[in-house]
Amino acid sequence: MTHIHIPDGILPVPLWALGFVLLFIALGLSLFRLRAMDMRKKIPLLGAVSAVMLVAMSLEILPIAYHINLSVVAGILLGPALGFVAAFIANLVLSLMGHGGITVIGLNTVLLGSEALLGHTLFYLLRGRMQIFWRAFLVTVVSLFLVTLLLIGMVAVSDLDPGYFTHEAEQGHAFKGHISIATFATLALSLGSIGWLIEAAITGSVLKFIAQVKPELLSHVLHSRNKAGGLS
Amino acid sequence: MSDEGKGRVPDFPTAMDSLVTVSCLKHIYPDTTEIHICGLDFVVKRGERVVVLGGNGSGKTTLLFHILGLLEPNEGRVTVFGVNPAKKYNTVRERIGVLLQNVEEQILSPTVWDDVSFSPRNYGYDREKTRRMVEAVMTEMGILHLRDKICHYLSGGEKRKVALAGALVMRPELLILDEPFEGLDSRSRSELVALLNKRNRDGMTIIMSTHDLNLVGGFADRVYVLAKGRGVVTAGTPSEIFLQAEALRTSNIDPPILTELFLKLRERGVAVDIPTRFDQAVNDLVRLAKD
Amino acid sequence: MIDVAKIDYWAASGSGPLHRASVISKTLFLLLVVAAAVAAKDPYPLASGYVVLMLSAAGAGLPWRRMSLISLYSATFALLYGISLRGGPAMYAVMVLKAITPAFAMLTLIVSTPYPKIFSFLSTVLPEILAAGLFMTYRTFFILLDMMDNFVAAIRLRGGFSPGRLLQNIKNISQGIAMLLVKAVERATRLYGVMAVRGYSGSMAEAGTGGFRRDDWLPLGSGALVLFLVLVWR
Repeated sequence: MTHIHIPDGILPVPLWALGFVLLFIALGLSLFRLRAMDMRKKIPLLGAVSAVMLVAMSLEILPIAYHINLSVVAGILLGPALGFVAAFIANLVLSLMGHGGITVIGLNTVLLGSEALLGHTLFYLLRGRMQIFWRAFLVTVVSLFLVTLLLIGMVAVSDLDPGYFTHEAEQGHAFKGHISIATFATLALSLGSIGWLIEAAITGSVLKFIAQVKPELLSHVLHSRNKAGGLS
Repeated sequence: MSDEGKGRVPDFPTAMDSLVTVSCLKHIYPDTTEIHICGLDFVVKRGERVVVLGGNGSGKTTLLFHILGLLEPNEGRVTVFGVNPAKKYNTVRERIGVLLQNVEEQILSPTVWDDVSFSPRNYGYDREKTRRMVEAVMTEMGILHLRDKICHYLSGGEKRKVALAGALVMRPELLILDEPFEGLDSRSRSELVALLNKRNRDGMTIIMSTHDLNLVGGFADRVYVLAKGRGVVTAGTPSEIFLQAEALRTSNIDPPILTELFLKLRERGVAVDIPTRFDQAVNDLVRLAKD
Repeated sequence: MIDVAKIDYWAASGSGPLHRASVISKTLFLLLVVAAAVAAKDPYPLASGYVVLMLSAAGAGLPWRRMSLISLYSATFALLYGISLRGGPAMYAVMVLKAITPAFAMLTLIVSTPYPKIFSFLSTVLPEILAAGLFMTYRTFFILLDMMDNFVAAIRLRGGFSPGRLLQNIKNISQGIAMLLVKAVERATRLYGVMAVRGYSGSMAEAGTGGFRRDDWLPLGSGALVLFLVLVWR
């Protein structure tokens, strides 16, 4: 899973502020796209999938406190717009449950929402080309890999300097710190790849099950366009 | 004849010949609710059919969850097949079958065949042996025709049969059932009781929880009665329990209609035994009518 | 993840000044403390601010010891992140305090305010679909947590978890998650149907907070004090 566990106050203000700007733009576009859809069906679906994402995040799959997030499942079942909204709700609720900082909600939603968007797009591009388990598996690995690169890019761009946090530089002490982005990238890609495989296996199994038991969830029939937008 | 209304202490099995022993357990839930199950020790002997009787909130499910190792007591002791189930459930789980109260949360797999074969597959049984075990139990339960059906769309009764088949497929030595008759019609209940009695004759020990005393007479060898906040208030054979109307009422359990009727007859001076089964009651009434 | 059920219980069962304070004041309190964490460059004022928060929580009858322990969870990630950086003890101290201080403030908010009230406040600033989505998620989440616990118990009881058999364990937990998803969608759809019958027209709860209250001095005062310490004590 790609989720920034960096608490508040660590990342530079411009970076997390940019995260919120991107969040507002993406949410705005998503809500605009959703405006003509049937409210009666999208809200229960949104609540259900967001809640399942939160439950999945609370499951400790491995003893090292690794947890999945089902963002690709959300994207495939909900579509890109509603999937992004689900990512925002999940991150906001996580933050309100004391898991993760408030200032990183924007960045985390961009990351999680990107996984949902990529997952949806790639899954439907590969339609009919392979069995559902392997299609979902491959899509999840690729989506998580790409978003991990995005995460590394974010950290590189943040240009963190430890002197930023202390007075030593201001007082002229010979303090020199530098970010080891290579170290961070190595950690993220190597440990992350284990997580991608686990999440991919789970995503594939879940979607295979859904295809067998409730296939209508995969064909977006719940997203029927309705001019009314409200209850009839 | 035991003293009416008094809790005569029956001959309890000793720890030496018991499969399950629970002694005075106390459990504190995360929301700080405390459950005390003290009073008499809960002991189940090999081959017995034991019913745990009690009203809502009396601790029946809590007791069963401790036996299954899903909960660990804050105080007290639980042993199953000689081990602490909370710590070593893996060493005994193949010998135990479970039917939970909410079968919806026990059915895990897409199709009926997948779900019934869940345990043998996970315990590493080969494909052929798994096939034989699953076909045998599904035939016994009369659900072989459902093998390719999607579990999610079965009726409530069918789901319960599938869940029970999943519990019985490993031919467990001990079967634990939590309120198994909920939502079943009378015919289905009779079929379930007949099946459980058959398996018991083959050697399976059964522990079952219920709040319906009417189901006890034709089934239990021993009954433990739980009351909210008081733990085990009495225990004994069904006929001994049926006589303890006051103890039952304090546990929020209504004595069976037949028991009430015959207790009233005894109050009026009629010399009758208290029946535990309907056919027994009919015979007694016919005899009275002829006298 | 922390024990959300416990948090919910504390929020719903307390009656001290922080419980009585308005949601808007506690939200402002949180933002003040986050601002202090962002601005801090020195561990000492932030450490003092953390003490201020603990004292105000203790004075308001909140479970401040448990909250302090839970807030330390975020310190783990701050320290892990520090592996990528090279700096001295002062830098590590600041990073840890930047993590745990806003975490404690967040805990102060959620331990003294039931989630429906927080969502009601948020619904004044969020579009309808987001507000309704939040409520539906919250309603469904606790039910699904219990359901997942039961699925996990059933998997365990039926031999689905074995040490050393990772693939099998993953496959079985996936089935539990998939079943949970199917039931979650059906349950949420039924719930929404009930809401529609009862006249739902876009509002899940009374929106807004009812304005400021007399007890707001505590959260606003303590939040302002923390920020003041960070800005002035250099």
